[in-house]
Amino acid sequence: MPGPLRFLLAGGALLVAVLVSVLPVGLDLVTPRLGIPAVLLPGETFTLELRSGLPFRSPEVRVWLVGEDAHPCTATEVSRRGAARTLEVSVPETLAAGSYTLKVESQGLERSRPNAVHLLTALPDESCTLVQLADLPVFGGDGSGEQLMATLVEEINLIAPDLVLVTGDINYSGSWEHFDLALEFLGRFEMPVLTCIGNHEYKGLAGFLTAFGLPRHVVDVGGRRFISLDSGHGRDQLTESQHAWVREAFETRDGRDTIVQLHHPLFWKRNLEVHVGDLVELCTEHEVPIVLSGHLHGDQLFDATGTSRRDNNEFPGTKYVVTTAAGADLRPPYAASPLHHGYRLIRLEGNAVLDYTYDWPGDVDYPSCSIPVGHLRVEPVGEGHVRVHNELTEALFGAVVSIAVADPAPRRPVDHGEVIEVRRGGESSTWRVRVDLPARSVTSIELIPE
Amino acid sequence: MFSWLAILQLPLLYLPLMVVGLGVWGSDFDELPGRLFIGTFLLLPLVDLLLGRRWERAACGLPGTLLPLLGVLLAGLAYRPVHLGYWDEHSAAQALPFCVLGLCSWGVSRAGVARLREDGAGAPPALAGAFLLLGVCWWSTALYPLLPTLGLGAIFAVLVVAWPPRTPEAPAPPRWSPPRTTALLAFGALLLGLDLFLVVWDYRHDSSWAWHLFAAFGAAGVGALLGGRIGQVVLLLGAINFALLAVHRPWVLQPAHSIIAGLALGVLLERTVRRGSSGSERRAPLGAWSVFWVLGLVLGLTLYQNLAFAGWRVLLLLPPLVLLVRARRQVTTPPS
Repeated sequence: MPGPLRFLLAGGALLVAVLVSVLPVGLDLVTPRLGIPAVLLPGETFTLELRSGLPFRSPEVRVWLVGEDAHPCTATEVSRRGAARTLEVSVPETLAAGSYTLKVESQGLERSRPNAVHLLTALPDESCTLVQLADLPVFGGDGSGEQLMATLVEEINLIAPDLVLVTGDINYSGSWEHFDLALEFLGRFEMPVLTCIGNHEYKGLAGFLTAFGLPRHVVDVGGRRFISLDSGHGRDQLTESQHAWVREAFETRDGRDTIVQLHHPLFWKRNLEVHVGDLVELCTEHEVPIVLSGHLHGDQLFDATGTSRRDNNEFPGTKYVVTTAAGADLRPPYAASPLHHGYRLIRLEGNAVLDYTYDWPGDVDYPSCSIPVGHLRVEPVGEGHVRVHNELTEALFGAVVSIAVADPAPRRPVDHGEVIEVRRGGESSTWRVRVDLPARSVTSIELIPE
Repeated sequence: MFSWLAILQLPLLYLPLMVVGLGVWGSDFDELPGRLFIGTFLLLPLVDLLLGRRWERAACGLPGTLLPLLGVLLAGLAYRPVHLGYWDEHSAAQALPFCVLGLCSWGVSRAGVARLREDGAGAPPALAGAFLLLGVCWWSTALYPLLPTLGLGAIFAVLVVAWPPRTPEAPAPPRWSPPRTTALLAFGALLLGLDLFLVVWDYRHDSSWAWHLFAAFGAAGVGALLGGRIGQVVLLLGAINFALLAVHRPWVLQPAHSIIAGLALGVLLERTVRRGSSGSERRAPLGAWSVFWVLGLVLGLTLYQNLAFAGWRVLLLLPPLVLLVRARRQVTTPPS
């Protein structure tokens, strides 16, 4: 076979191989996204990270934030390394607060990430409320997992925290279908959601990376930094490179109060064993108020020495909190509180933790409890009229109830609540009413036409 | 250089790429894709045993040109699902072309051996050049994590151009014959397989390890060039390096570690494939080197994924000690 023919054949085959593998030219929107959102005020900028199908090139990128309408934003490239591009996106000052889909267009390609950008009217700098849940319900089977997840979403939307932290074990089967389902459920939260990878996500990792992106990340929300770690990195451990990364994340916090979430607890059983001391030292040095974990499928609470605080939840230093499973199987040996599916409500004031445990009913005090799921519900009574049942032992301040009404006429609440937002869509509108719910109470909220 | 490139792409590019894919992005051996990968691992030595010499006889002719040509196209098919995507342990459509690519990789590797038999081993720069090109393939992971799959296709394309088919003539005496693998060299391969890719198991999805591997393979080229002149020193450094790794883990992220391990790889391979080995110990076919190398890769992954079991890591100190003792014995034993 003559040389030129071999050259042509080899060149042609290589060209075909390259074209087959890279065409159509792709575009991957790395961050922000659901799980690693941008949370900011209108008029501020956020960082957009892309991976381009063609490296070493900088084609124009156009960015929109899509709510009811698509709003163009200005994007400026700040760095490019190989196929990775980083842009600064300026959000118009005129945009209303709310959750937006990020839409990016480059070289005729469009990519969208729903719930990627959250614009707030004010950043929760001083007072901040978080809800943390871990070990989500198991999807598939008889559908009870999906039902429990829907209940969780409804309850947490009612509580209306500033942020929701999902601390790993989102999908137990590792199937793409269940990652999509998780993405859909987490997309129903009305506030920003920060996810972190658990050990179960290492089955079907491609699905997790596609749905939720980077396994470890930093999200800054005003004066707070949230570090989400990948504790399944080296079979449930932090490896050297991640340890170096977390150290840098602390060092670059720029005075922000820092919260850490990682799936595996740092202490006791089924815990992280490598670099625990280093991480504790970092948390102490940087005055981290609370480190959130899951994995045990039971509530636990530790101080910085690794002592289980079954006696008292008010101790100085960082609180290492393990929250029960939100819906996965419960594990009695690991629980320091009654077994229940639940989530944790955390109230922060500056860098101080005001409240993070729940008073379990009865005489015995369980200082590590999280909130049991299924004790908050909204009962429809009539057009513009609901009853909110709070069966918990604690009052819930600033709950947000969504009431759908068909009649577009202006309304006002009777007796309870303050209208904070009206979302009009199609033939009905949703009225969002802020209300305080006393412990063990039923609160009637009625919107009457003005 | 091209024959060396053809030989080395199997143990130093295709097989590590498969182990990295399975180790970093996931494997499910209960499903078809996982079984395909296991099947490939088991099939390759079997095919080599049964068809190796027969294929070598054919490989210098037209089949030796057509196989890499097929490999180029397969590389494109295998890379397509992972470009801007992820290695999917559940995808048979991804696993199948990747596994068939393995057969091409084996065939090309054996064809390289056949060419060397006819042409001779060439000078050390040929081996060094091959290492450097493999290093470039591994560097490409900085762009897209599994891009070396396409790099494999590029290597095959180069071989199609560089290897004109030869018509069989009267059999000439071989100018080179593959040396045998001694226990010492196999052991070295195991250690290097374990050592060189630890940085990959550490960084995992963050393919910052690309630069470490580029440095390692570049250093392997230097090691192959300098060969005997620095051999003892490099192997000693490699053993110390290895010991440090076991007791002081941050060492794994130092570029010096990759460079020393790479130098050791270059020296070891240069000694193995060019000069054979001295001593009267029992020897195995050269392919056994690759088996031990892959075992080292898998062992490295397993140990590093079990970071918590510190005791196991301390056991890593034993192999370099044994290696040192054996090397010393080899030096002090006068040739018979």
